[in-house]
Amino acid sequence: MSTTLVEMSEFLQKGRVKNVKELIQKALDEGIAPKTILEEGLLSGMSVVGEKFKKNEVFVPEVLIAARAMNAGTTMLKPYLVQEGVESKGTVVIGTVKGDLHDIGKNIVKMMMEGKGLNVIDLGVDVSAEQYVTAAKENDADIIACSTLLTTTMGEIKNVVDLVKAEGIRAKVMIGGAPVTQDFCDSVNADSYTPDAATAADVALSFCL
Amino acid sequence: MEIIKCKNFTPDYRNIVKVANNEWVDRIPLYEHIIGPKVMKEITGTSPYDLMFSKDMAESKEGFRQYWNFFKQMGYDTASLEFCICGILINGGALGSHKEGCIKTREDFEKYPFDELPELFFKEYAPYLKNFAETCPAGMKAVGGVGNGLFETVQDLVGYMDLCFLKSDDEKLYADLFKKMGDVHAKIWKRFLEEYSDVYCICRFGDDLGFNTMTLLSTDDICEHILPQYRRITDMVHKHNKPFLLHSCGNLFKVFDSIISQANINAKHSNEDSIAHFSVWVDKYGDKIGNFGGVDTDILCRKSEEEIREYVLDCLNKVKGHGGIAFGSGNSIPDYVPTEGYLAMVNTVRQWRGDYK
Repeated sequence: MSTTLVEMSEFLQKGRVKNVKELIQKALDEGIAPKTILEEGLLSGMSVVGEKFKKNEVFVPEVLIAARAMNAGTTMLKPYLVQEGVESKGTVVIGTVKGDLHDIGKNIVKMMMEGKGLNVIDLGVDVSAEQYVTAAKENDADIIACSTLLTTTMGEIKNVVDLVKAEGIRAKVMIGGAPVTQDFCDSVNADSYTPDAATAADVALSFCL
Repeated sequence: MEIIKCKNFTPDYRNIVKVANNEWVDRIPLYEHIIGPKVMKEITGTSPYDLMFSKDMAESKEGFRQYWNFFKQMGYDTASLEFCICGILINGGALGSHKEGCIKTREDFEKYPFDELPELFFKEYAPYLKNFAETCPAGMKAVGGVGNGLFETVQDLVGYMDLCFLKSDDEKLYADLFKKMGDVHAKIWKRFLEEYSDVYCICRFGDDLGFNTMTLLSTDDICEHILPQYRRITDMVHKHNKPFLLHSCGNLFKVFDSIISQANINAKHSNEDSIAHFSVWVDKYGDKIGNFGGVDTDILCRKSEEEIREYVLDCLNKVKGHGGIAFGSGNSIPDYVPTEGYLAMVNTVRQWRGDYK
């Protein structure tokens, strides 16, 4: 692999936005394809961070700053990717369910999914089943990802699953959050429960391949 | 919904003080961090939260009387109440109200009126602290004091994600925020302890440091920036001959030995089964500190009364005799907890400890 891309991956893991951008420009100047820069420079760095996070080897702040560097990099790279006709690996519609205003967990999952090269549409907090389904239809989403922190709002997840099935859309429903368990996932017939953000990103990618 | 009334219950706050000092008490004290208005209303028919902070002092006192009476009627030796710093923060709300943080730069930090906060705190709360103390029933005292720990107040000014970015972008400012807000906490606690703490038998603040799988900041940062500031407060609390109880949610196992040794806490509250059953906390730390907690709040929400009863008895039998134990929910009783679930827990504990003999 190009030393520029190795350096880029390392700076991304440290959250160094300026260095990452400089190295993207350097890589482009060296004639490296935008898709290669994305996959071997940016996504590979984020993947290392995700694995470390899954093993509790890094803390949330390190994930957030790495994700910020990756976002800055992908924003810079986007026009070149579009020009080259590179598409995202899949589309996720994400949000915190109706009645719940907590967003830290959802934001971390979003960043980890973006770190896998997925296009993530963030609906924010207090999202109704209808809003999830409408956004999924409009964007031909592969996945609807529902987050909840409160026991009392877990019931909303069932409403989302039921509406997805009633509308017959193809998106898989992934669920997560502090009170959610595999048993609950099974009971509401959601497609996947994941216990942490890094695993959520892995599973989301597997649904899109 | 069955409410078992016990005519013979006489509260004695000294029980829970023993627990905080890690001594087993046969009449295991009931304890809650917060009990929401719905449960209180459904059990006693009163709405103390509507009155306690009224501008009308007579109405306020009536609210506090109702508040104390709820805890007394339910078999508690203490009532829990914190007067929260986040409630008086100028331009706060980044933690509790999802507002944009007001401190993003060194300039924002220099301009922020930190020095006004202690005065604001007492201007806002002093009359109510007085009313709360004056309505305390015989035999009872309170657990609490100055609410919100350092991490929560810093987040309320900066926002969690921006605080994480600040750590990377301006580490000096990140450190200064904790120091400056630590000074504010110390000033408020000093005056609180000198003038308003008689009604409190155990001092406490809540500061959620973790989530399901780990801490929200690195353990190094917690040890460097947060625990030394906690220590300033616990030292003052101990000088007033009171134990200190930390309420902190999340998976804290990697940092908890440091919390005990560096912050010098006497007891800890908060547990949820997705992290560890209450008995695990007791097994790990029961030789060093008192443990407050018990039933995962989710259990109270989703299980039947009989299942809750079985869970409570199993938990009590597992932790019995292992240091100081105060029992209740692992978190709190928000309005979404069914009153039947709460009562099933309380009644089981009271039967187990012999209130109904």
